[in-house]
Amino acid sequence: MKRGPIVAAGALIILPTVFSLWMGWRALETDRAGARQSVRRVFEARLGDLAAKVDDFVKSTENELLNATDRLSLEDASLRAFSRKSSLVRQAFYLKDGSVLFPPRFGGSQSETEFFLRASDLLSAELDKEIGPDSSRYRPESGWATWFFGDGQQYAYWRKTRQGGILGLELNSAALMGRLAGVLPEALPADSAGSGQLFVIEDARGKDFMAWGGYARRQDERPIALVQLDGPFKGWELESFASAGAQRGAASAEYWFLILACLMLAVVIVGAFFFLARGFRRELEEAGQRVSFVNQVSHELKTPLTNIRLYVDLFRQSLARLDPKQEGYLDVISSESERLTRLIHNVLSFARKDRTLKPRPESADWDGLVGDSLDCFKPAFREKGIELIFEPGGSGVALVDADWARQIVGNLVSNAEKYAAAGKSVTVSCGAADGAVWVRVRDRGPGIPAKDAQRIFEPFVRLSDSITEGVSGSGLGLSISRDLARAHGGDLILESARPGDPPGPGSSFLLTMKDFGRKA
Amino acid sequence: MKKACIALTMCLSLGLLPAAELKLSVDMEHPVLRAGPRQVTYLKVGLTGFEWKTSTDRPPLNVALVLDRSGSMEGEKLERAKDAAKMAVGFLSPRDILSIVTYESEVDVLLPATRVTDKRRIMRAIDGIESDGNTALFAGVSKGAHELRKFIDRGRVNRVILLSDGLANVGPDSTDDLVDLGGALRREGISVTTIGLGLDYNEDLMSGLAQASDGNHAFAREPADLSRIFDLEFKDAFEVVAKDVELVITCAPGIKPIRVLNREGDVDGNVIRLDLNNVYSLQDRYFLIEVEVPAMRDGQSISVATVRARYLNMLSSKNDEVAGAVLARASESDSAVLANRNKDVVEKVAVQKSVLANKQAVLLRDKGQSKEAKALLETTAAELDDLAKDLDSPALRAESAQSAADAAGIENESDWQEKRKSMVDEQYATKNQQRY
Repeated sequence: MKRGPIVAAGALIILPTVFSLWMGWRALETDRAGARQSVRRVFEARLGDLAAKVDDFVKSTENELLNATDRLSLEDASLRAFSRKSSLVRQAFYLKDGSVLFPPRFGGSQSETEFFLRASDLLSAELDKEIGPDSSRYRPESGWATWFFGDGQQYAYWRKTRQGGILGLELNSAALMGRLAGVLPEALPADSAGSGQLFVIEDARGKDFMAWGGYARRQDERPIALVQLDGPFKGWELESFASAGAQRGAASAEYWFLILACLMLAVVIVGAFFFLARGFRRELEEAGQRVSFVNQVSHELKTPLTNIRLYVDLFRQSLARLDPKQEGYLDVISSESERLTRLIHNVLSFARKDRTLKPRPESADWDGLVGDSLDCFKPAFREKGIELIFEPGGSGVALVDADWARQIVGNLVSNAEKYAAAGKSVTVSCGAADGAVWVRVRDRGPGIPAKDAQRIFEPFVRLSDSITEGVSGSGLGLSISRDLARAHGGDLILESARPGDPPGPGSSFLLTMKDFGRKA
Repeated sequence: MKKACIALTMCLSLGLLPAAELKLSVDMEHPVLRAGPRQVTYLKVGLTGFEWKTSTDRPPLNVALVLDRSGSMEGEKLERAKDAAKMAVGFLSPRDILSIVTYESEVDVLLPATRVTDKRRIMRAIDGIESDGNTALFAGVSKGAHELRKFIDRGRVNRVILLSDGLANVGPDSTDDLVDLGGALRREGISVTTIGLGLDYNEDLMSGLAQASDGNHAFAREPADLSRIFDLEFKDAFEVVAKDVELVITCAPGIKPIRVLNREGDVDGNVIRLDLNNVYSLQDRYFLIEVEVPAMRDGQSISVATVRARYLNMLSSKNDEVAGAVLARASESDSAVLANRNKDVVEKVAVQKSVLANKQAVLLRDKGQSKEAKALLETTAAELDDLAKDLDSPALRAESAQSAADAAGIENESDWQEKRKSMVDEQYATKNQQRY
């Protein structure tokens, strides 16, 4: 197979596949963006659940602290005892009119002194001034405060007292964290389990507090969904991550469908191509078979014809005298069988067209060769009243494929007989020049229009006008003749009118064939 | 009538009538002080657990086993831990409540708090534990505490038993965080016993958590040690005779409390408050208070302190109270001071001071000052040795030997990790009179 068709076929398969793949990908991308949105919403919903749990925890802690301090006396001893006993409260403190009434800044216990160190940021924020001593309905009754001491986030819960001050409860941060960790779920719902997902609760400094799921996230990976916490855990974030695969989830199946579809398309195209190729090859095979059949038949046909000619000759020789009528009969048999032979040769040559034509040169007297070819036409020409003039060139011996020469000359003269009979004269001249031998066949027929000058050499072309009507022929003659001539290092052309030509209509065909024996 | 009196006396002497109680002892290191300007001396407040007779039902346990199953636990460590856990389950009865929490990067409640009725199911659950991931220690302990809270009761011994082989690296992971958590848990009546396995755990964090929550602390060098330690721990837990102990030491006027040698207590003016979660059967728990006594004249006698201890008696399930007081007098006679010194208190003061020195040596070594650390330990060993001879005290001789051994090994680079852990383990046990 030549490379050209293969490249073309390859392109024919690949291009539509790639194109449809690209189109499908585009469509899927759009779809996927939508899917990503809904995936993000799912993750956000899960985070929302977690956030709700944190909210619940905060509320229950608030309730616990409010209940514990509802009937708490604000005297030093009572606040001290409360601070010591509570597992959640590290230090209770009491603010009023801008100053800390409890614990005492000096003279208190060591833990009370440490309180001032830890809570300096909180106290300098002047919580009571911010909140306001009066219980106006726009100001909350209780709330949270959070600040940093060193590395750690600290928490305090405060409530307004009837006496107009603020009771603050500095919490044991670790205790609060511990309770939070205790109430958060140990595992998220079953469908989110697995190594593809990760849910993280990060503290205000971005450090992981707790995590669920096995997905190992990269250093700077952005979360799919993010929920910010509020209240005491302001600055905390709930984040969810997932591997690309987990994110795609159902979408990944779609990608496979797309790829599968394109592969199927490719398969279909390839299949079609192969189907066509097979058909084509089969046709070629059939053609080849036809050709070989034709070859076979042609040879089968040639043998009897050769015999006919042989026996006609024998018959002619065996009879001393034949009356003109008998001679005439023999001539007809002879020329008809020649014609048939010629036709078979043409068909054979044509069938062999695809294979390279190789001339088989043999020594022959050029003039004699050409003259012999004309012999079988003499009866027919006589009958049609056409003058056949032979002008040999006296060129001597040439090394040419004699069969080919006979075939071509035969074709030309036969054409002249068929189409130029009206001219009543055909001149055949031959010679040698420039390392080649030539034959010219000129008739005085209607001639061939210039526009058809090249067409006539195409196979199966017979000019459709009055010339060809009623004339049988295969349309192969000139085509084959030219192929042979060219294969013989020469050419066959229809000559245009030259100066010095006799005036009047007609066609002149010039055959040149390389003389393998002569040097140019 | 006479017979009745004899019978009553016999009963009284046999101690059948009075219920078992904690024994409170308050002793001065030097009941007779040298007359003169103010000086520093020591006061020992001791609580002795009564004997828990095996015939009586022990108090029920509410225990959460919190097991590290991070990737580093893979292999023999986890297998031995599982074996130890299963053995512990074997100790329990349907009166007890058990929960099992495992943690790696996430926390997993393997067994929510439940009565120990179906032991086989629990064993099977333990068998299924696999290792993977990081160490969310804080979350693990918190979840364990959460499980305990479900059935928390004063009448039960509420305990988290934490096993870890590595560094906490998920969630709050500093020693301070865990100490604070421990303190909060103690106030809820929950103690966390920490067992460190291998050479990679943070002994300061683990011992700190135990200290703050009044749990035990143990160093399991090899996985094979785990079974023995679990055994001892559960036996300990079974023998809690007093819970929610509140000690209030009120110093008399003129007496200034400086510090508590072997406890982070709350010094509030002239009152020292010490809270304790557990006192064990026959345990001699004591606290040494460093006080400054004012100037005293020869023959003067002063009240030093009154002590009150309130606790929940696990045998009677009642709140009991026991009180005591201590005096001191001054004398010009050195021989009187010497003759009257309380050898037991002197010994214990020396022991606890050596624990403090041992801690200081570790800190020096951590800072790279190995030579100073070694010198400190050698000095301590020498001092203990002198005192041991003076008091003819085997306990002090043992302590001296320990100090000397620590001094010898402290400069060694290659096994410092292990040595540090065993030193911390020793310090803890001595400081808290841990029974194992």
